[in-house]
Amino acid sequence: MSLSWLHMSIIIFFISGALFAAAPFIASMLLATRAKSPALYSPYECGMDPYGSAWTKFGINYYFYALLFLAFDVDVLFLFPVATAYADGAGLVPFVKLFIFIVILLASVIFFWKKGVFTWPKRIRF
Amino acid sequence: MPSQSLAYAVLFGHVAFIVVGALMTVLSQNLVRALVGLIMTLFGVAGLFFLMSAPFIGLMQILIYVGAVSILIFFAIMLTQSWSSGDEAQGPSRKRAVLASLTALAPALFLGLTIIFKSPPSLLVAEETEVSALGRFLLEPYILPFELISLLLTVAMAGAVILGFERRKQR
Repeated sequence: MSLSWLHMSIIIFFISGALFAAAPFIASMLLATRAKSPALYSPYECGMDPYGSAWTKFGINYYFYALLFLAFDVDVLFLFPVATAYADGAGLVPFVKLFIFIVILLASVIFFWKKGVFTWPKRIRF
Repeated sequence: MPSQSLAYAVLFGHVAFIVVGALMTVLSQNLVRALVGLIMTLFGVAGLFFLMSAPFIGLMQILIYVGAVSILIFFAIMLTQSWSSGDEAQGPSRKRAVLASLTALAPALFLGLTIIFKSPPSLLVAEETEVSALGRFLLEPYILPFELISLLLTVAMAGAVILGFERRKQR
């Protein structure tokens, strides 16, 4: 196995990519001025001093947005292979099959919308 | 044989990446850093899927586990109050640590031994399955499970929102 131009170009791109990532760090090490002050470690260097921890407890509602995102992400997992096979399908039948899938998902979106999940203040109606 | 040793290097590189991420997850004092270690492990597992020539599974590992599940875990961490000076910060006792690591090792050991000694004769070189073939399976013979996935996710989402979402004041 000899080195071909393909290998060389891959190696050159690899090295230049690593250099591209390292260059800002090296440049800031060489060029930046050195300053030390406790104020530099605060979240906002000028302005009010923050009090308390940044780890406040958030409302549980935000967790449900992540959960909804996860559920739709799993939908995409199944839609992706079907979308690649959809081009080979003939007639209306694959369209109807996919349509049922998407309509059920759309029904969930309409349900959350009507419940007031997408409006502020974030509390659902019953 | 340089290509085989290269393959070994790539495989054990992935394994080392996964193990370092897992150790970071378990040993880190800070929960957010532990999550970063977990994400590293999940990326490594996705790399292993790519090595087994299952790029679709690898991409979905990144999309779902790195993209969504870790975000979910991050939101769950924000609901807790376990910062590094909290109640859970002091480590477990030695006995509990030993028992916990034995518990974690047991399934790995059993599964590993089963695969080594009882594995079915399979292809040594992994074959790639086309994504469109998977899609054809979902559209033709497995159409009912495919539609039920959508229904299942809808029911799961609706149930989670109804059970857990903050309600308006009821009079």
